[in-house]
Amino acid sequence: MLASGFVILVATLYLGGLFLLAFWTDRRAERGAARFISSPVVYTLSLAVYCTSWTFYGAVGSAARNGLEYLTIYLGPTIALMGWWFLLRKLVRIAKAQRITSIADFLSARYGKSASISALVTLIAVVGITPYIALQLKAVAASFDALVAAPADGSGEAGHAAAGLLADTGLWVAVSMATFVILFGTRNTGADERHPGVVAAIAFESIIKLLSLAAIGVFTLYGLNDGVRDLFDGAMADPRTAHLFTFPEGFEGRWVATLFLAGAAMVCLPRQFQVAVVENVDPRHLATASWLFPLYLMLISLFVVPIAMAGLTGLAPGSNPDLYVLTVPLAAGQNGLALAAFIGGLSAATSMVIVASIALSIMISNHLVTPVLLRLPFFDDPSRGDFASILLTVRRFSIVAILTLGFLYYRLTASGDPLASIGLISFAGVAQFLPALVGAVTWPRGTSHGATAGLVIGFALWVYTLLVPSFAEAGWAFGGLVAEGPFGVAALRPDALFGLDQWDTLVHGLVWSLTANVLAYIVVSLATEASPLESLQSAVFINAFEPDEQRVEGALIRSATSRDLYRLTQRILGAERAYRLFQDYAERRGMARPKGPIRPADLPLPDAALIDHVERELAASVGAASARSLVSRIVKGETISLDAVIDILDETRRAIRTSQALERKSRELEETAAQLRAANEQLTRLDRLKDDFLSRVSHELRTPMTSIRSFSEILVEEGAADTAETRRFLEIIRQESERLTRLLDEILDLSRLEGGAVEWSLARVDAGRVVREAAETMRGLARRRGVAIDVEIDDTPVPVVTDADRLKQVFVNLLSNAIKYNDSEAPRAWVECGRATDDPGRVEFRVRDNGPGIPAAERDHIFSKFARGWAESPGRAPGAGLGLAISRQIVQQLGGELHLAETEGGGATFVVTLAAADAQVALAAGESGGGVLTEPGAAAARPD
Amino acid sequence: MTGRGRGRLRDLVLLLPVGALIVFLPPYIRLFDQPVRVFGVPLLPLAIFALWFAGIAMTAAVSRAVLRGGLDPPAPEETPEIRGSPPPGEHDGG
Repeated sequence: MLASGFVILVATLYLGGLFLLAFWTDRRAERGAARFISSPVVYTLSLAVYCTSWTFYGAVGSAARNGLEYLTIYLGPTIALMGWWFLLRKLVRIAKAQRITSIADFLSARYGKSASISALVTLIAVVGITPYIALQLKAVAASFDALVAAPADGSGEAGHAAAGLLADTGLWVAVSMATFVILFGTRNTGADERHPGVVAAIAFESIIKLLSLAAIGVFTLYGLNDGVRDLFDGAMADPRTAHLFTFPEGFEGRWVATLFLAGAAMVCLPRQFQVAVVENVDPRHLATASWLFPLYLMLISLFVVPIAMAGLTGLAPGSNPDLYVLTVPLAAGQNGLALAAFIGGLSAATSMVIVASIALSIMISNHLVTPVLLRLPFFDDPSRGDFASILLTVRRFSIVAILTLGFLYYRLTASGDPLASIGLISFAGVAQFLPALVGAVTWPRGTSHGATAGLVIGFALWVYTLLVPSFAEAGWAFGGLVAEGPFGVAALRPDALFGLDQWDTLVHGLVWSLTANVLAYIVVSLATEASPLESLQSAVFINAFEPDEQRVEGALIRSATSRDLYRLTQRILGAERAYRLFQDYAERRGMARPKGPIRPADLPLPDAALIDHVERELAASVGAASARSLVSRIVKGETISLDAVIDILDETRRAIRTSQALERKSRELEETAAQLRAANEQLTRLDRLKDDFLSRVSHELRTPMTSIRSFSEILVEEGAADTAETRRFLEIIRQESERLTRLLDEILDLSRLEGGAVEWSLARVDAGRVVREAAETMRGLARRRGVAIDVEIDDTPVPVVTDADRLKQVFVNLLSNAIKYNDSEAPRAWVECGRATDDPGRVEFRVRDNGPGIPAAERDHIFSKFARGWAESPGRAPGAGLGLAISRQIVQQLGGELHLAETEGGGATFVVTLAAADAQVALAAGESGGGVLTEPGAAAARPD
Repeated sequence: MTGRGRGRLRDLVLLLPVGALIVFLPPYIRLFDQPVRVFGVPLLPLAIFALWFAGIAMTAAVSRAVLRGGLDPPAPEETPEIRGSPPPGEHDGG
């Protein structure tokens, strides 16, 4: 036994520490420094708000009464968390995208932002959770009484309810919790409804819960017994603990029912939805929690068995099993340990009360009070200040109301049910949300009417088959109804509906309420038509992981003025947050805005995206339904494009569109691949040509180099013995050097021509004159070789626009070939110039000889580099083999053609054709086109 | 991770909760209800906790694989964090 003043002091200090922790975390979070809040471990520990005093005290009590069944309460959430990938992950994703604030908001947002669904869910939650809150107050009060005045029988019922109101521990717990929640839970509205201070306090309390339960468990193992084997040796021999190691007959029904309820509670309990979904800062934390949270649950339940065994075997038979956690160490004289147990139980109770009242207050203010306020003329009065502060006040009142309700329930029902049964009835109440919740994210046909029908019927049956019998059992009310049935109809007795009296009450009530709920949801959904907004929302919810948001946004067409939107936002969120919202939106859309007050002209365009954005941000404060009704007041001409909705919903069309997109992609890929292949082939060819060219150049350079080197060596070795010979050698060296220079010049010339780096000086000249000049240039060589040159030129001059020097170079080249390789007995070369016979617009030049001609095999590549159509003969200055390649380049660049004509008899005939200047003028006037010069000067820019 | 490894991981993510559920349902969990003691502990509670722990260990392994990018977990949402832009009126620049 401990002095009550001391216990109160410790409890006050503990709660004070909790306030400090929450305060400190909030301050750090404001500065952005509370990084630990975003850790997956803190997230997991905050999930452990699941373990209330019902776990802390009730699990031992349940184990002592019903054996291993208590484990289902922790195995259920374990399985739910292992399957996080399927439900929780999707809930978190949707809640983030839609700025969901509570489970009521979630369901309402999915079913067409219906205000009635959110109100209904809120009502069910309040009715279901109030007994649960009362349970926590009861646990703290009972444990306090047990600690300070443990009665001799250890029953723990010290008659706190009989004491005056002010002496009631429960009152002070309720008051301090209300203060805590108002201080840390209602600092602001919106901004994701996150409460870092509260989360930190909850996580800390989770650690305390686990540690203190572990301390008592370890104490029973090693303080009261000599280890595990000793504990079980003693317990196995004792008939009172036999049920702890084996299943009782017919355990199956309750086992499955509680397993299911506990799993469902992980998402359906408003406080679990709050910590798991709304307060989640990073979806990846779920992956860590998926094993860490089950581990926490396993450790908590591990210590329950030894404590239950110690209580059953060591304490007086009448002791209250729900208080074994306290009375076992007390009976052993371990007051310090008992105090630790009390603090652990206090942690468990306060964390639940804090989170549950925050979650419920958000639901009450957003879904019960706000819709009413918005209908009153009060709201339209701008002198009332911004709505955010009103909302916060409403939340504070809601918290006081919830805790008052819980406290009243606790005062009125001070004696009665063990902890576990109240908890399970609460679980069954909120489990009514499950069909609508699972349908919300998986079944596109679910409608708001279906959800409403399911919730109403499920809730009604829950009240009738579970709540009413529990009241009757405690002896408060409905005794006659439960015993005889309504109006004496025994078939309608609440705990034996239609004569099903074989079942456990919990299983019976759960089966009736949930099957009716599911059936009503499905049947009514199928029988009713979803509104366009519902269809749209169901598409958004069900396809939450598909990147289609853009199209969904486009489905809702409406218009409003930016000024109205801004005013509305200011009214609901306050001036500062409205300013930030618009500033932020403008920045994210890439519209940089100067800082400073927003003028009407600065507001972003009121397109559908802005309206959606404003509605979502409002929803984060007042819930989806109220946000929609607010925005609807200022928008005009709202239509939901049915085509867009059908498009989103229609799986077949989605599939077709996807496969079309795939086909298009694969066609594009094929085309790209073909282009790449072609490019690759061309590159390979060019590469081969380049290699070829290089090897030919090297070869060509090698010949003169070799002869220069060998003659130089002779000169060096033999000295100037014979002047004449020396001169001859030097002469050869000079010739070879010249040949080398010529070769290099030609290579350079060719590469400049090919690279288009040659400057052309174009002028209108007489074609015949160019030919004559070329022939004159070659006469010297011809005479030395004994070759006669005949020049035949038309009488009328033919003008061409060309670079005369370059054209002359071509004829010189052709004539030089005709002269050099002509080995006939009477060598002769002809140059002819005149209009082409088949096309008077063109000038034709022919260079002909009576030499050996070009062998047929060589004709194809006579114009390629280093090709020689004539057999090399010694004693003749060999050409580099670039002349024809250069000539063809020049002619092509001048817009003409150079080719080898078919020759009858011997010899070779080269033909050059160019456009005549008079024809060029005609072309420039627009008669026809086709790769010829159109005006002087254009050729420079036209390297074909 | 290869497409095949991803497929296997996806199977595991599905199989773990389903497997755990089946194991803990009455006909199966009842199999362990035998009057046998292992290391001094009755079989039934020992089996429940051992299976429980095995499930946790496997979930931990899978969740590590998922976090390493095995199933492309959703990236952290871009929280529309609003940084300290001044409230209207403070900067009355015109």
